[in-house]
Amino acid sequence: MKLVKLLEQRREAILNEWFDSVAESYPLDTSTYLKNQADQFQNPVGHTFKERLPVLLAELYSNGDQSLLAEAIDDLVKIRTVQASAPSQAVAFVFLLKNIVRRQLKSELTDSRLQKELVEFEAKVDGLSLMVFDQYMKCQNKIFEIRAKEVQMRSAKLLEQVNKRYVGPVSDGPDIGGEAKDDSNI
Amino acid sequence: MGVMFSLLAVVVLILIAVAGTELAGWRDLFGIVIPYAAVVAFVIGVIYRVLKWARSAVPFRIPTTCGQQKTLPWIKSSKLDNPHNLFWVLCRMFLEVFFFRSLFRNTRSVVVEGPRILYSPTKWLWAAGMAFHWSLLIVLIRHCKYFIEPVPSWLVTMQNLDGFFQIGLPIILTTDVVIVASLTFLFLRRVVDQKLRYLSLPADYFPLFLLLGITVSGVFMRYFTKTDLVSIKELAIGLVSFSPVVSSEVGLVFFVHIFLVSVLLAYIPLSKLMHFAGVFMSPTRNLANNNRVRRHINPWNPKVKVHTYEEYEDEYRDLMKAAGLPVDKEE
Amino acid sequence: MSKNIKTPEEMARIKFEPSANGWMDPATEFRPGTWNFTAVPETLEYLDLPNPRKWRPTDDDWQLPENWQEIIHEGLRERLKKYRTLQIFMDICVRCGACADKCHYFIGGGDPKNMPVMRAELLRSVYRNDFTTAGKILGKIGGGRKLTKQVIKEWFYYFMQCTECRRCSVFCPYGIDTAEITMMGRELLNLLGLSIEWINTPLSNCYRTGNHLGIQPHGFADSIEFAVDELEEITGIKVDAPINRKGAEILFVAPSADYFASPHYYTLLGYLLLFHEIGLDYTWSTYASEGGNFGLFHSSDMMKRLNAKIYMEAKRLGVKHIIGGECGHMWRVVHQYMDTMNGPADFLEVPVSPITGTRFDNATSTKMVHISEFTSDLIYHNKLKLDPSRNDHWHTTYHDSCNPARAMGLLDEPRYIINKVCNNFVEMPENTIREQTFCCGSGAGLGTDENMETRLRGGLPRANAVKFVHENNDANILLCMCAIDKATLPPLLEYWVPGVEVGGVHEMVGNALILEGEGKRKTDLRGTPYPGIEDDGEEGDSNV
Repeated sequence: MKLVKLLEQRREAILNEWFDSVAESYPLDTSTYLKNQADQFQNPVGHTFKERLPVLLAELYSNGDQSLLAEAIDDLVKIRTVQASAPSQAVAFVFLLKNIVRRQLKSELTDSRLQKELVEFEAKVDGLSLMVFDQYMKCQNKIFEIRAKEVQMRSAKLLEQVNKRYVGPVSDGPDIGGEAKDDSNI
Repeated sequence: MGVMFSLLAVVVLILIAVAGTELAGWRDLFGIVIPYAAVVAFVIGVIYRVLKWARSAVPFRIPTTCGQQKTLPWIKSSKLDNPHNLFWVLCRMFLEVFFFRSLFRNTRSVVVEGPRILYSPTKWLWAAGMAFHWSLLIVLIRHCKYFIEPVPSWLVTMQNLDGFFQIGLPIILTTDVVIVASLTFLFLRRVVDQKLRYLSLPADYFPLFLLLGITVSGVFMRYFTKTDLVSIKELAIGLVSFSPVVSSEVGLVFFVHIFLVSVLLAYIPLSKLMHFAGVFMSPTRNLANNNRVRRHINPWNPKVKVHTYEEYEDEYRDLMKAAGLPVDKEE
Repeated sequence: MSKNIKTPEEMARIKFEPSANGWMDPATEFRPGTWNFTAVPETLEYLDLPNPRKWRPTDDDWQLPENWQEIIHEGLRERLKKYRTLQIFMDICVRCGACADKCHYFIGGGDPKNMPVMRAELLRSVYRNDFTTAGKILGKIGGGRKLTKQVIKEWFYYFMQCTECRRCSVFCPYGIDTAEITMMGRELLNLLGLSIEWINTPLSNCYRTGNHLGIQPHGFADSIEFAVDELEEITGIKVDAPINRKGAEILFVAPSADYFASPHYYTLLGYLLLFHEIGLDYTWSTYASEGGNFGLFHSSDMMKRLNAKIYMEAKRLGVKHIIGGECGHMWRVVHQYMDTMNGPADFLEVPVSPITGTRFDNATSTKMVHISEFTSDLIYHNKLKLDPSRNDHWHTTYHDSCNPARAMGLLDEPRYIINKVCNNFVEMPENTIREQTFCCGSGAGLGTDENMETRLRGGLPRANAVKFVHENNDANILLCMCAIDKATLPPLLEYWVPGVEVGGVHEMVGNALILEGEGKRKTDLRGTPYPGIEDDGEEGDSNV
């Protein structure tokens, strides 16, 4: 596999470019921060991309640990899910890799055997994108789930108490707070 | 846009000084009238601004606490970062004013990953800020030698220390190098860091260019042109003793220098440069965290409508009685 | 090729700035998940607040009063005189950028206008334009902006994306406090009737019933009784919990979420056990049944109106002093505002612990003591019998809540207690705790479910530090002393760090506390059976 060798050789450069293009998907002033702040606690977003993108790349051309891959996808997608305004925005970072690899291997790509391998590689990128999309949906569902759960927890003990033994009517004052929820379109 | 506008403004100012003295020959105007006017504007402006701040009330005592409070005797409190009395407030303020303690906080515990060493940009901000402000202070003190005759020995010692490295002729003063370098850094930082470029205004670039113009013209006079120090000192002493004379020996660069200084003085009260006075009056730093010990008085403490217990009990009396809760009135 | 289909590079772009002309052009996109529902007109009417109406941030027309510009100008002028903080913070910021990357919303979300300096500039630009000589002459070049309806929309968007946590203020060389700016910004918005439901409904509830949840006195009594019964099931001991009792020595005030919400409730159980065991002569109050104060997130007047109840009730009941429960923003109000607003409390006595005799010299004027100050003093003097092994199923870490950390300095008391009642405690990384603690991302009235995405972004820095100790030190519970934290950290952690629960410090105290005459406990306060103990099937309250 010639492609694997090349990818391993250029790994550093590819990863740097990938990281940079993900960071550059943020507004200008934010991307410098994501790139330069080294402290993992002051810069969790940049840190996660730095740590997890290499796992994805490695998996694309070698056969790694499945749980490691799942964890990497999970960490990355969680962040993009809450930041993006559209699903496409959340998952598009995977597709960036295609162009980056083509750019990095430009001089070698005249080789037709390599081209064939690249097509296979890109199919894997597409597959990864679909996995990322699945994960995005999971994250979205999780958000709905925790939203519902949070509302429940706010008065968890109240419900329990009422269910357990409270009988008789509760006196009602002016109904405040009921209507705002109704005209939401979320 | 902000950069070009500010740069242009300073260039225009320099041209005004050049044209005014060289072409129009208004040497007294630039040597005497404008400096006096600038000092007056500075003094009145600063007093006005400080009085305006002082007239604003401090309704609440809201220090930002950056360490353990003073509570139980066996718990060690953090006196500097969470001062509980005036003495420690003064200590906190001292460190804040002279050593930029809050800025320094930025530098702590940076986890560096991988082989690449990345410096936190804020560490540089602290260092450059310190370098600039301290150099400025020393340079200002050094300038006293132009206003006092004979020059006191401590001033001479200070200048000698400043020239400790004994490089060049005239000997290069460390502060001259440091002040130009730190100003340059503070400027570049605003242009290079996109985050800062985003938030910077012309009002941020202008003082930097102005200060650079002042320091560079000063440096120029000391190291590159033949400057007649006697006549400048004569003018300086004349200015402070209210009998100024502009001798014909005073050169063009000096006029540029003193004009930019005048503009800076007059500009200070109108601008963010007032931070030099404001830092002393910031309520999150200059108050002690003794809130629960001594009552702070709000001069405008408003009367507000409250829901009294009587109104509350009136609404819920029956329910309270049914639940076995004590009530103040039976009916 | 199609112009309708974008490339992945274009699609990946996260844009916060619809306008290309830099930040001076106000433009705000109210997309779902970022904003809060607006206040219901009835709540504004109940509190005599201006401009009650039905509206939504996504509406084009926000139905502002006709003279809205005048109202804002007058309001700002008035506040510049009333608050030196505002006047100075408007004047002296040098935009050095030290605060820029200190805000959890910026760190987790990347919106440049969430940099604290920019949040202040939104207001400062208007101040410059309309209130300063230089700004009036220079206009836009001097950094001034005209006050337009778009500016108001932008204020609403970004002042409702600040949790008033004060983290930026720690790093500012002049102590500029964005919380103060946000508070002023919100006060101005309130003048136009621009408020959110999650702040205004608790306000009107609290004004009427004494607590944010709107629990009426009989409901409160019932809830406490329910807790007493539950404790009897767990410990076999019936504790006494007096309510509205005149002549008690101490009034105890807790945030109202403690009565009903989970996991707050287990902290309530902890208080009840503690007070029983030391035989404290105290009372609860239905009228002052809320320590928290959403007025802090609304305006200083509202804060005062709600806070007044605590002293008024202490006076009516004739207690000697007050103890306050675990809550964050409540303690900002109690510590920094209460005495000034509603004092002097000359009808109370300097707090002295009836058990240890310790005089609380740090509360001689306010006469209110924090429960963790009180409890740590008890433990220090060996007044409690503790069995920390009853907390062995927890690997604890501690989250400093913003307000006690940065507006009070309550850092070591809770740590002292935790270390005495738990065997496993680990600190999160240094720059994420104590005065540098990261906000939960949902404080200051923003803990609603409709803005969950914003909350999850803002909570990322906190969760990230929790994740670190979860992975490296097996931490499985995040302790905190804040009702808002207890409500909002569970969803945050469920998203970012599944497997870490949230609990209160006094829940741990309650678990470890050995009661006089109690048998062997079969479950902890959550109803989770201790390992090695057979569940006899009667406990059905497990929430873990």
